[in-house]
Amino acid sequence: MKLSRSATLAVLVGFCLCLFAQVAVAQVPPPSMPCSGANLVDQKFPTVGPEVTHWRLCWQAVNGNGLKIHWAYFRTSPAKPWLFLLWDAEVSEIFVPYHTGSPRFYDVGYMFPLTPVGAADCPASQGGTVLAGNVCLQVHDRGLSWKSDSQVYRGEEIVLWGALAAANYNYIIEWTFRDDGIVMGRVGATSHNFPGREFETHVHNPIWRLDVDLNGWPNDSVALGTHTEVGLTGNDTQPPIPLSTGLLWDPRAFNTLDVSDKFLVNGKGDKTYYQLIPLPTQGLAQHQEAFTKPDFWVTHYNPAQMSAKDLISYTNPPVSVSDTDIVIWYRGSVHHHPRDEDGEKVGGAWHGVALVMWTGFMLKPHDLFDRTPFYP
Amino acid sequence: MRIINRIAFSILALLSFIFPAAIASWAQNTQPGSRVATDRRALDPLTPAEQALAERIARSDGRVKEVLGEAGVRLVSVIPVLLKADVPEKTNVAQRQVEVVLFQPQREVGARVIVNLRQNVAVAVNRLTGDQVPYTNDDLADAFQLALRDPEVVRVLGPAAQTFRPRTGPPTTTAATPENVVEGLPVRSSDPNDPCSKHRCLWLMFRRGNDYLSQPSVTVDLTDKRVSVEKPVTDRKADH
Repeated sequence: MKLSRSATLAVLVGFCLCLFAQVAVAQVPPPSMPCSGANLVDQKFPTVGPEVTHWRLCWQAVNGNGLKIHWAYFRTSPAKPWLFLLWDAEVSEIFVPYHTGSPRFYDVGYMFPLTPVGAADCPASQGGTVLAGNVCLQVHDRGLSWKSDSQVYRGEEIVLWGALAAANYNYIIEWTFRDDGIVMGRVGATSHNFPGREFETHVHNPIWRLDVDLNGWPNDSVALGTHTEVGLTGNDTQPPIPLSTGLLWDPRAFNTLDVSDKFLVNGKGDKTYYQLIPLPTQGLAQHQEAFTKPDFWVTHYNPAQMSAKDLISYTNPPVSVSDTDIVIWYRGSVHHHPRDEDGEKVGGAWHGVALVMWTGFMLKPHDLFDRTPFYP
Repeated sequence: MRIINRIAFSILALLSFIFPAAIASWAQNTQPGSRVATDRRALDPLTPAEQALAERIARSDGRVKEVLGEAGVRLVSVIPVLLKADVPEKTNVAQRQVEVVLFQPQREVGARVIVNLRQNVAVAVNRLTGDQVPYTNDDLADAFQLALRDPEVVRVLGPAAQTFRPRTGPPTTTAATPENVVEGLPVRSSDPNDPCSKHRCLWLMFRRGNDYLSQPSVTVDLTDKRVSVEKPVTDRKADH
């Protein structure tokens, strides 16, 4: 039996066309990761239907620091390359001074483990999956992404959390990776008031160390996003931060730490940057200790410099942080003025728990997308 | 003949569409997104054997012995780490490097040791001062033993004093019988006249089941081996 020459040709052409189409759809191969199994999170968005955006990252449970993130990649569309964003991110310290001046605790200075996490913490009905018995991964709806009259889009996110068992306190260490490229870090303080000083006000200051390596680790720089107004005119500037230093956050200036890469632009040729935006729930404290005076810090990457309480020495003498490998730090505060809701003394012991009090920050992309892919 | 040709053409055309799709589907399913672990990666949790090996290599390294000596050296932590190369593409994501932190409590000196598990060698050793070394359950046990020698601590705890045990692992959610445990928090004074502004100090808390005892409030200076007990705060809301 012989096929006609035109039929054979048609089949071959069809085969080739289809093969090319499939290869095109097969997308850019995912980056090789330094973790596997439960420690690897690979999530496309939306969770149902064709992919628009995609996160790929590692997590690690570390006694002391709690839940740490490594190697976070983000992809803005299946046809785009994977963008390296984070080498690692962690809570470096939680400093807790009490109002009478003493005690002054360093809660990350002990090799505290994460608490167990089970189905009650991390219900499947909320998109939860318990990982390794002490971390919860939730993939779920995050509410409105945008609304325009009758048009609407609900966003989604990954939330990873674990709770540090720091003696009388539990600290919920939470990392969120949203479908729109935003990363959020939060710490929630909960559990038992300090024995013997149950009604003494104190401040929990988590200090995050964020090794943001936008588009890889060479060639990153940081600027201080600043809004000013003179008369009726507002103005936004981004003065570069040339040397390692600590900086104050001025909420009226909408200060942000803007991390950019020398070569990274979006499809429109606009410079891409990620903005560190504080998300305080009450305010930001300053204490006697010098490392608590600034709210932001910018340092040059050094693998031996992981401790927030030593930030003064890390920035002295100052070194260049332009077009290099940088690390940014941010301190949040939870002002805990105890209340009767926290508990009561029963038979010489404190019975009750303080409900979760949060503080955190956001890492927000600016000119990463050419336009939001979630609008038709 | 023409009919056979058409049938054959249709089958081949159909296959030409199915075959590449099947290949692409297989390729996608074998991507890491499907969470199939095929090999050990740099940050995958250590096995007990890897932990023991890393500790052994660190302790036996000559530079470590020089810093810490050999007697009374305690293990603080063993965790897998990833070291940066020049660019992401050059980073070996399958490297098995481990950070081992050791501490010599008598001299209050520590060492951070990077161990390459593939080559069975310590590749870097850094000396740590006492304030750079995290506290462990060993420190808690020391502090508690010191506290138990303090008459005031024993008096406040009463006959139950000897039933308290240092917490050694993650807390259990609900024990069948309330456990008496002691926990510790690192504390550092901002008053330069207070020894705890320089020394390694732990504040002890005593827990009965899920509740914490309001007394005693105990600070243990591990450097000077001194115990201090704070007087109870009497007025519930007068102190803020």
